[in-house]
Amino acid sequence: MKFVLKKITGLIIALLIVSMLAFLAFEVIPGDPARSILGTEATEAKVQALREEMGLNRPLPQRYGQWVKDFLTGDMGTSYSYQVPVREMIGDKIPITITLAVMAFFFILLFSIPISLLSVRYENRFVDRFFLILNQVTMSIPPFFIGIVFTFLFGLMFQWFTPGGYISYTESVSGFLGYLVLPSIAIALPKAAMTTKMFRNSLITEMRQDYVRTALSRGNSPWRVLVRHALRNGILPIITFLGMAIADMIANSIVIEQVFGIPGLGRTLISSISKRDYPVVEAVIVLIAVVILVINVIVDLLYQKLDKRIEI
Amino acid sequence: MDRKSINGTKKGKTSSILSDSGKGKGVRRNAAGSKLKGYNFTFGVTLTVIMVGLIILGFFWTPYDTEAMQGSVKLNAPSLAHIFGTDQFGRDVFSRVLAGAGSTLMIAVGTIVIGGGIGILVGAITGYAGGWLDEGLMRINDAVAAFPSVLLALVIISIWGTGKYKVMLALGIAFIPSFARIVRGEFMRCREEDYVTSAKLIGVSAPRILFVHILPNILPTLLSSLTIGFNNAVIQEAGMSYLGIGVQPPDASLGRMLSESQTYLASGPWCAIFPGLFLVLLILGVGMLGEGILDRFGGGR
Amino acid sequence: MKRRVMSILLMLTMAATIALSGCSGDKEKQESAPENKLSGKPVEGGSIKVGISQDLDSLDPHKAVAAGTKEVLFNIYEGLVKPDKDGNLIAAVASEYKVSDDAKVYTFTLRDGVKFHNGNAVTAEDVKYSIDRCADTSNGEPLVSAYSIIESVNILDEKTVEIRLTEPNTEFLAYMTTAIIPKDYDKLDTAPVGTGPFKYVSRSPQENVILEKNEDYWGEKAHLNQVEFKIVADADMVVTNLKGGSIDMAMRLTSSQAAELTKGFHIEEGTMNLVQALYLNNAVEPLNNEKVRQALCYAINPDEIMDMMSDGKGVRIGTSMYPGLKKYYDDEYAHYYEQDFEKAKELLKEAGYEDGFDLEITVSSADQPHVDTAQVIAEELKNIGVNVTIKPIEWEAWLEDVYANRDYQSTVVGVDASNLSARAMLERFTSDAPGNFINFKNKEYDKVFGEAIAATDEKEQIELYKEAEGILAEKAANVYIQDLANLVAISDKYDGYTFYPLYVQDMSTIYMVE
Repeated sequence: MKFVLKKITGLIIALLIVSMLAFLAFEVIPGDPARSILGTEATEAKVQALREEMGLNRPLPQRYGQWVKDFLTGDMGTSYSYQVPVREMIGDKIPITITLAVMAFFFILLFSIPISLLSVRYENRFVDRFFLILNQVTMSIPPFFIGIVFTFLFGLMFQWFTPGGYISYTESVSGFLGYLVLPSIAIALPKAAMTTKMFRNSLITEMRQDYVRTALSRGNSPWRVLVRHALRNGILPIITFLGMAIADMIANSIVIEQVFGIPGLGRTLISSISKRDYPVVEAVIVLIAVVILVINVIVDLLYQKLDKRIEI
Repeated sequence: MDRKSINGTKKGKTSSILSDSGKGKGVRRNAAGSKLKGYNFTFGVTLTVIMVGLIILGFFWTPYDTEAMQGSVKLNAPSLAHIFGTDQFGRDVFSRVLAGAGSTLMIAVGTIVIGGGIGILVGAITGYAGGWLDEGLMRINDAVAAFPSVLLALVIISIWGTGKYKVMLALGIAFIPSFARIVRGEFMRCREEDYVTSAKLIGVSAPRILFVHILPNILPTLLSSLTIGFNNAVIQEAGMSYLGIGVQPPDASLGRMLSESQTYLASGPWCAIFPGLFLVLLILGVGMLGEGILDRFGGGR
Repeated sequence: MKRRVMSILLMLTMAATIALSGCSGDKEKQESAPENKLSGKPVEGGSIKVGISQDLDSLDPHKAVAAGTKEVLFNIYEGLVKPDKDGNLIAAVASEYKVSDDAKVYTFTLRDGVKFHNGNAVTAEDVKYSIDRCADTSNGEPLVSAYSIIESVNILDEKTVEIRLTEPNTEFLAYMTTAIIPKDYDKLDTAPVGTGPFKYVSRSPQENVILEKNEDYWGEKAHLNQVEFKIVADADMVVTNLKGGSIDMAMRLTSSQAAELTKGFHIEEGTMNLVQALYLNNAVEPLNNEKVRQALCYAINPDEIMDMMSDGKGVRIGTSMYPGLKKYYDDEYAHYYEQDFEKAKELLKEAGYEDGFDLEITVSSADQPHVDTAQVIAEELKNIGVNVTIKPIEWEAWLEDVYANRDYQSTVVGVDASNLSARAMLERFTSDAPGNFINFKNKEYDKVFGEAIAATDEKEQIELYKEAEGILAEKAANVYIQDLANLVAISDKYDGYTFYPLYVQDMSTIYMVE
């Protein structure tokens, strides 16, 4: 319990630091949101009036304090450029990025588990060697390059999907999920390769344990032993990796969103930064940080728990 | 739960940036059975030397001027004159790939020098010292790790302008936490070891223990995480340049070439394929080198 | 090469904003060949997806600033008058207007049967509300700066509105394109209501804006039932998206992009209606020296720049006026300076810069055409010993440093006009104009410009404006380059694209072909 508390305190402190860093960042970078909104037509008086209206003329600590207070009550402010509540705006985008990450996670498992099992079952045989090499190569391909290749092959050559033809989940859920298949595979592939590699090694370790030998000697088939016994234990060491993979995919989804023209959190973040739409940027950064930090904590806790079980 | 199991946790959970290094080390050792493993080092060294060699060659010589536009050879397929073909302005793709990979190499090296240097320092101190210093620095570490590196880069670029050194700095800072965490874990493990305890007993100074006694022992792990860091820096730089927030013209960049190539996917796929392939081979070589280092030198501990 | 066209838009947009949306290309006529290319017959109905490079900055027509936004809103909102494709102002919400002889009273008669998208008829109250809203000074400045000369807006009867000015202004009609909105309607930001040929349906940030046909439109109704403006933020994706079919039309392509779209698309060519120039800060050394500025003009060859950038497409210009503003445009300035390195060097010598000097060109990094132009300029200036450093910065930083603080040496950008008056282009170069970011100060220019805006005879006025343009060219206020080519790609399923001399996209003229 103490451990849990400590982790959670750490998480809150880290979040405070993140949000403060984000605030500070905007304090130092050039560009004034008021001027950005008004454009070249603005006179100094206009800009000042708008700054006042937006509350930008108040001192930084005061603004930050207000922001924290509002945030805790669920009020993330109003987007400068869209005039809609940030919560609403981001609320529309979160499902997109989360779905992308979850689908990618699904593909990681879909690819890595069967291949790992196959590799272990036929360790050092052709299948195993083949996948070892394939893995090594696959994990070296940047996801956005996979995306470009997919666009070329499946978009332009075979025309299986429409490049840039993103379909909103409000329009059609199946269309939405369908469009996300290729992007999520593109992010999943390199990570699936890494997972396979770790999983294979982990399984091989398990297969050399005494309990496996006992099970085998009792006449259980190798497949059965592999799936029934080794799989469960062997997956433990890679859980941390999988956790980090999700966090990583959320934080880095921005590039793949760009390749496939998906209007998710990443694109919102970039465009808001360039428009100096601070309330949106601040909220997106804190949300991403929350996801990453929470996953960190969960992974820590999980690992500790599993660790214990292993010790027992 | 005792202290050691937490250490184990940390080790297992490297940050997102170095995500594939953390795989349980014990596991790897036991699995060294595959004969292919032996080739990692050889193959990795060979491929890395070839790729880096080509890039370094590109610093001094390229077949064509990287910027020279030749209207007569727009989007020509690969041929003897232009082995990677030409782009929409008739520029030689091979020359541009070399120049772009040059920026990439410099940025990746710079990133691991900054990120690795500071990360090792922070990790060594916190891992060895523990206590409130450890707690404090690790909290900051967590925060920086949770701060999207793209944003960090944008902030730095907004303040100091664009250019490859800014990208280097941004990525370097973003990479500190992951290095710090790995190194911290290693130092925590080592500080309980007998040779450290005895060194302490005979009054060896802390910096000396840190860098003379412990560091060499974790060198294989460290080197392999540096190679992973290098690869991640390559991928991140390419991604940022792809988004248009990384390296800016006139500096060449593989990421930007890939981005621009999308317009010409149908009429000049080579503009996309060769820069991409070059990236993959570079990453593959360095990645296998890292594996090889662990296989060959890391087993001893 | 066009990484983020977005920026172009932006640039234009803002850069130009004072001017906001510009004017027109008259090139369209001679170059758009599409009419005869398509044999299909026009079909009513259908829908189109149009790629735009940046999201709208506001749905409120009075608050929107970006040119990229105004070109979309053009389909939703109308003013008392509106521009047509030839650069004339035609009656819209008003059916007729009268200007008093002293040019101080403008009287508008409202058109019968004009309805807002919410079904209500447009009343004199709505008109007064809309104009007053833009003239309101309670925030310090009116939304439309020119409205500061409005003395009062009076409702004469339910069909007649009179606008009284504090001073004579013959060009005030050009400002009456301000959108008419329903009185006291406060949801413009999220649910815009106008009188235009298309109605607002929905919008998703960073994704799209959807409009549908206004069946009750007072004028010629749109052909298409639905228009989706889709945000394609990455210019490098535009061609792929066109080919893949996720968008049917995209504006402002580069010539190499256009060259990719040989099958299934036709390319219409116009101009962007802006003045692209190497804008010089006339207040800093050595650019405060007229001879130095002239030397730069002699060293830089706009034709060469156009060749490098766009296979020669675009229109060379020599002063702050682009061809779309036909009335005020004078072709003779385009070749005021012909490339002549010897003459340039001589001028530099006379100015005391025999060995050349260092010049920094600040440019918005997102704006590929401007970055490219700066690069060609850098090469050209080497010939006269001027050593150029290009400083790419973010657009936001550009606005702040260059435009607002005027802390720069030179910059490449495009400036357009907010309406169809010459004033919109030329006023900024008077000594005290707030938008005079080049710090151009010339007594003669101020005098000529002052006479021009005071003139009540149109012919005389045009002559005076041209004289002012001549001063800008002669004094080499800036190194003028071109009005950039605007290449529009449209799927062969559609036709009817119309170029305007302003920064607008009129979707109502587009139709599907069989």
